[in-house]
Parts: sequence; C-alpha cells; structure tokens
Amino acid sequence: MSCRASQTAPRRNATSRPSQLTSHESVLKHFFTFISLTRHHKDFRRCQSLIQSISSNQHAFPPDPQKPSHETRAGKNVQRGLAAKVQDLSATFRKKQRVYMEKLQGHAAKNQDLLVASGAVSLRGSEGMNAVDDDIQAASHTRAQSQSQLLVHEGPSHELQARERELTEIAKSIASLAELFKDLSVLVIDQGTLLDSVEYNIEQTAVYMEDAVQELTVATRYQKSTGKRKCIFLLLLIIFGLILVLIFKPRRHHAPAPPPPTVSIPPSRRTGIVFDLMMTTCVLRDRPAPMSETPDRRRCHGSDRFQ
Amino acid sequence: MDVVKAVETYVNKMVATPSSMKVLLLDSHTTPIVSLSATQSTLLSQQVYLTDRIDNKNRDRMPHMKCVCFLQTSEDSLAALEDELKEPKYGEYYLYFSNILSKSAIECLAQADEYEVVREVQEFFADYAPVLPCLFSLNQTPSSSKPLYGSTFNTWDPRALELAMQGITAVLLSLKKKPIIRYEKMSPMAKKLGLEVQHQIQSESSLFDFRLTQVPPLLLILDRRNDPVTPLLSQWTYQAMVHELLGIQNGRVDLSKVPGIQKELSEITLTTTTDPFFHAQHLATFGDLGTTLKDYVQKYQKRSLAQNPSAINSIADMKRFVEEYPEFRKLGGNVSKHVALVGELSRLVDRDKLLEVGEVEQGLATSAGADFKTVQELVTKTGVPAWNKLRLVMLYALRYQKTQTGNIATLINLLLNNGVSREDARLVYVLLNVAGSDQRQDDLFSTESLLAKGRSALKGLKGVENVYTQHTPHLSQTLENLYRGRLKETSYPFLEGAGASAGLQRPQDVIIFMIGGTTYEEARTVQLFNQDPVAATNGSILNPAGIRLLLGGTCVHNSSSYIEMLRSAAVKFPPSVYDPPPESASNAPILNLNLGGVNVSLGGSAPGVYRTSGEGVNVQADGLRDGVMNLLGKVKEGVDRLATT
Repeated sequence: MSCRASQTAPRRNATSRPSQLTSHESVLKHFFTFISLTRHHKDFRRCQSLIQSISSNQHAFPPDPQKPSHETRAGKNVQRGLAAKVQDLSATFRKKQRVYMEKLQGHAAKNQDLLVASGAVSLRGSEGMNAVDDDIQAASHTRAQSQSQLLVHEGPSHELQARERELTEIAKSIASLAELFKDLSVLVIDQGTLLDSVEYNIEQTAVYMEDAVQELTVATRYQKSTGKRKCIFLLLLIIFGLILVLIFKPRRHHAPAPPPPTVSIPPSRRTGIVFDLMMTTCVLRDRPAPMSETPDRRRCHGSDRFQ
Repeated sequence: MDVVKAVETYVNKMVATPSSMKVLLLDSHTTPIVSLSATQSTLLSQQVYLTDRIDNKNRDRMPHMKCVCFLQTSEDSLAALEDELKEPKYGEYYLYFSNILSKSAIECLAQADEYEVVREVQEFFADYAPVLPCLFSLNQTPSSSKPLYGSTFNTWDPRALELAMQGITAVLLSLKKKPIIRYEKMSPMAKKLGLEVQHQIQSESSLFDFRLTQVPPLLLILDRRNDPVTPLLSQWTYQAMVHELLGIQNGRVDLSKVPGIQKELSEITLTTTTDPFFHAQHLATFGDLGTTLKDYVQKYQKRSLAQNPSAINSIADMKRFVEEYPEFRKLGGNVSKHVALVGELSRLVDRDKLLEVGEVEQGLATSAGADFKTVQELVTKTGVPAWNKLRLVMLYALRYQKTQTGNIATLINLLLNNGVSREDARLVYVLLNVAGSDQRQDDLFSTESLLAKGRSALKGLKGVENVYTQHTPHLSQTLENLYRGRLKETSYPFLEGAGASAGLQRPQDVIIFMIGGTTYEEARTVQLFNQDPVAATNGSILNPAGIRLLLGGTCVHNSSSYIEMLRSAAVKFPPSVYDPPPESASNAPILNLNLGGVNVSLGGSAPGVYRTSGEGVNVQADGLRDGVMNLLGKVKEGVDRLATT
C-alpha cells in the first residue's frame, strides 16, 4: 500500500512542480536532501540488516531449535533493544531533517524576496535610465522563454528522463524506508503492553523452566521405566529359565525313575511284603535247617564228644 | 514523597553501573517491585538483555555477561545467591539488597565468593511495591500460608511483623525520613509495629542520620479493623473498580476469562506510569469514564482517518505518516485495551446487578442507612451473586450491630436459604467479632454522637453528587483532623520519646501505614488530599499547610481478598470467633433501657441466633464425621496395601 502511494505521489508532485519551479536552487536542494535521505537510509538499512543478522547468527549453530535457550533469549533482547534505539534515532533524524529543510526553505524564500526587492529597485532605476535596455531585456527574456520552451520540447529525451529516473529513485527509497519501518516495528516492543512488563518476561522464563522441569521428569520417568523394564525383563528371563528347568528336569528323571511319587508308596509296602516274605522264608528256611543241621552238629559234637 | 520515582531512581542506578551486556537477577519478592517501576524497554536501553530469577536453577553459563542482582535479604535469596557465587555463571557480579544487610550475611557472601567475582555490594532500600506515586504496598496479601495475625486478632504473626517493619524502614530510608510515630489506640498491633520501627530507627542511627527538618515527619500507623467497611464496598472509580471486579496484580490484569476476548488482550498491564489514558482517568468515576473513553475513541478514529492510505497524497503526507505511525499504533493498542476493559466492567455490573446492590451498600456505609426490607429483598433476589449478598449482610451487620441484632440473625438465615454456604455465612459473625463496634475506636457511621449526626445532616442538606460515591473512607476524616491539627492524642497517641511539644507541631510529611491492607478508595482519598485538600474536604479545611501524604499497607485489598483474609485468619483464632458477639445477648437489656422500641425484635431474634450457632455445631459435627471418614479411609488404604503386598 505504501509502495503504490509513493509512486503516485511523486508523479503528482512532478506535475505540480513547474509552478513551483521559480529557481533551480530549490530543485537542487530537494535533490540533495533526497540523496542525504537515501544515504542515511542506507545506514539505517545496514543497521537493520545487522540487527537481523544477530538472530541469523543464532540460527547458524542452534543449540536446540525447539527450546529457546538463554543465549537465544538474550539475542532476541539485544535485537529488541537495538531496534528500539535505531527506531528512535531514525525518528529524531527525520524530525531534524524536516526542521532543517523548513529552515533552509525559509532562508531561500527570504533571499529570493531580497533579490526581487533589489532587482525591482534596479529595474525601476533602469527603467528611468534607458528604454533601450528595457527592449533588450524584453528581447532576451523572450529568447530565454523560447529557449526554455525549446528545452521543454526537446526535453523528453534528456531532462525528463533524468527527472523520471530521479523520481523512481525517490519512490524506491521511500518504499525501502517503509519496509525498514515495518521490520523495525516488528522487533520493537510497544510501551505499555504486556511484553514490556518485566514480571511477565520473567514468568515466561519460569514457564520455560517449568517446561524444562516437565521434560526432565518425563526423562527421569523414562529412565526409571527402563530400569523397571530391565527388572521385568530379568524376571521374565528367570521365569523362562525356571520353566525350562521345570520342563527338562522331570524328563531327565523320567528315564531312570519312572514311578512318580504316587507309585512310590506301594514299593515300600511291597518291600515290606517282600521283607515279610523273606522273613517268613527265612523262618521257614530256618526251621528245617536246624532240624537238618542239628543232628549233624549234634553228630559232630557228638562225635567230637565221642572222639 | 513520590515512591514510584524513588524506586525508579534506585532501579536506574542499579542497571546503569557496568556499561556492558548485563543480566538482571531478581527473586520472587523484588520482581514485582522492579516490574512496577521499570519496563522491559527501559531495561533494554540500559543493556540489560536478560532478566531472570535467581532461584532458576537451569540458567546457561554466560561468562561474557555481567550480572546485576537485586535481592531481598531473606534467607532463601541469600542461600540462592551463595550457590550462585560458588559456581558463577557470569563474569562479574554487582549485588544490591533491598534492605539492611546484616554483617553475618556479608561474611557468608564473602566466604562464598571463592572466585572473587563480586564487584560491588550495596543496599538500595526499594523493599516495597510502588503502586501509585502516593501508594505503596508490601505485597503480602495475608493467606493461610502467610498469615498476618497470630493466635488472636490483636497479635502479630512474627514473620509478618518482621516483614512489615522491614518494609516501613525501607520506605523511610528511601525517602530519607526520620519520623515520629503515632498509632491507633485501639490496636495493640499498631503499637507493637510502631515500637519495632522505632527500635530499628534507634539501632541503625547511622543510617537514619538525615538533615533535620524543622518539624519531623509523621508516621501514622492505622489498623484495618478500625474501618472494615471500605474494603467491603463495591467500587465505582476506574482503578478501584478494576481491582474489585477483575483484580490488579502488580499492575497486571487478567482478562482471559472475559468472553470473546482477543488473544493479545487476554492479559494487560495497567499502571499509571506507562499508560497516559489510565494516568488521567484512574480516579474518574464510572460515568465520567464512559464519556472520556468515547472522546478517546473518537480521537483515535480521527487520526486513523488521517493515517488512511487514501489520505496520503503527497510526500509531505508520507513523511508525516512515517513520523506519526509508531505513536498511532501505540494509541490504537491503548484504545482497544481500555475499550475491552470498560466493556467488561459494564458487563459485570450488569450481570451482577451491581447498580442496585451498590446503591444500598452506599446507604449502609454512610449515615443515610438503609431499610431492612430492601436488604432483605436483595438477599432473596435471584441473579444477585451469593458473594454480593454476603457483602451486603456484612455491611448491614456492621451498621446495625447494636441496634438490630435480630435483623442480622434473620438476614444470616436468609443467606443460608439463598445460596450462601454455611462457611461463608459464619464470616458475618467473624467480622463482627474482629472489627465490630467494640473493636473500633471511632464512630464509623457518624450515628453515635449528636454532633456527628448534625454534621452528617448538614452534609445531607448539601445534596449528594453521585449516589454511588457518597461514601468517604474513615481515613478521610482522620486526615481532615490531622490537617486541622485536631487529631486527638487520646485516640492517636505518640510513642514514648516523641517529645512533649510533638502534639503541637503540624507535620509536613505524613506517611500512613495501614495494617491489614489498604484499598484503592483510600489511595484516591489521599491523592485528592494531595492535589487539593480544600476540595477534598468540601471546604472544611481553609488553610492547607502544604502537607504531603503517602499511604501504604500490607497489601491492597478488594472485597474478596479482604474476606479471604478474615476466613484464613479466623481458623487460627479461638473458636468463639464464630459465635455471635456476646453483647447482642448480654447487653440486650441495657440496650432495651436505652431504646425501648427494639425489645420486640430482640425477642424474636433469639431463636434465629441460636439456630445459626447450632449450625456451627453441625459444621463441627461435619468436621468430626470428616475426621472419622478420613480415619476409615486410612485404615482401608492400609488394608489395601497389605492386600497388595
């Protein structure tokens, strides 16, 4: 919007200019001030790009793009401070410039008035002196006029083009000024807003801090949970191992000792029975044995006794 | 006597010293102080590029920055500072403390400073929050964790006493005043605080060595309990209204609960130093505010037409645009802020029927009085929030404590039937016990003496300008007496050692401190007195002697914070504080002798009174039941735990 306005405005000024073009001086002055303006613009522009480079430097090696670290916050604040300073300076510069221009224009007007006054006096004097001079003056005047008319006719090729260039230059510089302005105003904090409150800014860092604390707690939770997970894994491993043991150990026992504990009760009984049987057999065997042996022994004994 | 300026100079001095990139470290106490007196942009212009809390543990190391610390002399802050100095994160340290630093603390700091990074240690006595040029606050809103009262309402909590003493000393030191002290006779707390301050002045006599003025300044210590009415009233001037309805916290207002608010306006700053419109209008009544705001908006519209792209036709226009645009933008932000704020205020006034309530409140607060029936009607009316009903009954109880005890009991019962919880309704009696007529020393409603009655009748004859702002806080009467040199020594005695002729001199500078919190209405009174004492008293002072006033308090109250303070304090008081004040029963016969007509209403009131106290018992029973439930819960929990293990 500012661009369009700036382009229409100089044109309008150009059309209105011939009426103001009483002396070349004023044109020159305008030109010089615009040059100075553009030059200072360049300075301001450079300041602005430097300010913005502060943040780009930060982006060059970002420590952590998501979480604004203290360094980036400080950088941002440096930007803000400098931007405010530049804005202030450019405003005062522009104000000073305007005042100076007004003063200069006032001087020029005064000078011109003086000149005209003195010229009028001299003209009147010459009028009284000589009429021929008057004619000559008139002639020269018309010549000058025709010359200037000629110039206007020929103009488009040289002067108008130059002026056109000049005007586009001005338009450009004003557009860049507007842009600079916009860029700066993004950075600068308005007074009286919440952003300007010290407490709010500190609270913001506290919020970051809380975020950080939260992240830390999440991290510790993860850490703890990995510990837990390890524990669970270990327990699972142990359980698995035990299951394996449970599966394999009985099988190994299966081959040599098939009787499970339920079957193991009869053997004792059986052994008892066997034992009983054995005992009975023993008894049975014993009974006849003495019957058979005793006579021998008796015999032996007897024989011994007899021998 | 401008506290904002005083603190501002301190802050500027602090951040000016090392002229390089700086970090400003604050603690929880000094943050609001700095925030109220400086803005981020002023700090930035002094190359303070980071502000942070000292208790923020994860600050990055930045050895290229220098550090300015402004801290309270509390143990927490000193401990945090010692930790910081043991592992310095910045290049150099400039330490400033908000109050008198003890020698042992300095020694501790010196021991902690192993790397010798400390360049400077100074005391800057900005230990109070400068809210307005003539109003400071110690920012200690009493709560259950930070109590003001001890075990009764006549004793200090030791910590609160210490802080109040420190705050007042800081005010005196920053303004270079060595005052004589007067206090309100009814308040033992005021006397205690006065003695503490005097003791501090005497023990730090080298600090208080100022050029003697002809008449020493006066420190007047008042007690909130002598005027419980002012913080209970609805407010009708801009700043007070915002604080009453939305709450101002250190110059910030939270608008996030406002329906349909824009995101950038969900929280705003509201201080007189940064906001010219607010500076001009913060004392204006709500009606005047509406008209001035309209003008303000129109002014903005006119300028916005001038800034319209179609209005820019020449280079001169363009130049003007470029010059004026920043200011225009600022104006735009300010206009939308105030429009949103005033819009919200009027919405709340409408929603809560504050105009009706406010009129009755003003009647109750002044000598005019109010009809029992109108109060009854408002209490039973639907649409009036329970909170306002409670305030209304409290005011009624304060006003007619002695004469219409029966009505008070009836109103409390009505409250209970109309959406006010038992916990809240009990506070009416708490208020009467804590700040009832037996506790107050002055005639708050000018109803007691004949002379006062006559005076108020005279005032009534003059007519009232605005129904909603007819109440003047009790402070204004005290000040009037002070201006005339008629402040009685019997009710506002001097501390010992003030000198015999102290009562005859008229002080030039008066610092008023209100124990238990002051209000914006009182600040307004003080400001009006400072501007033009003749107009402020309706011409009853004829020769103002150029007295300058400064008001302060433990905090700045609105009605909710005041009632919360009562609630949290009453828990620690003996349980009899919840009972109806004794004189309503025991004094009744005597009252009857004096005023024959009250007899009937008193007789009728008795059951009501007992019923409410019976409900108190119920509450206790509830408490008991809760206790039992708790115990059961714990047992259950234990069983559960056993079951799980």
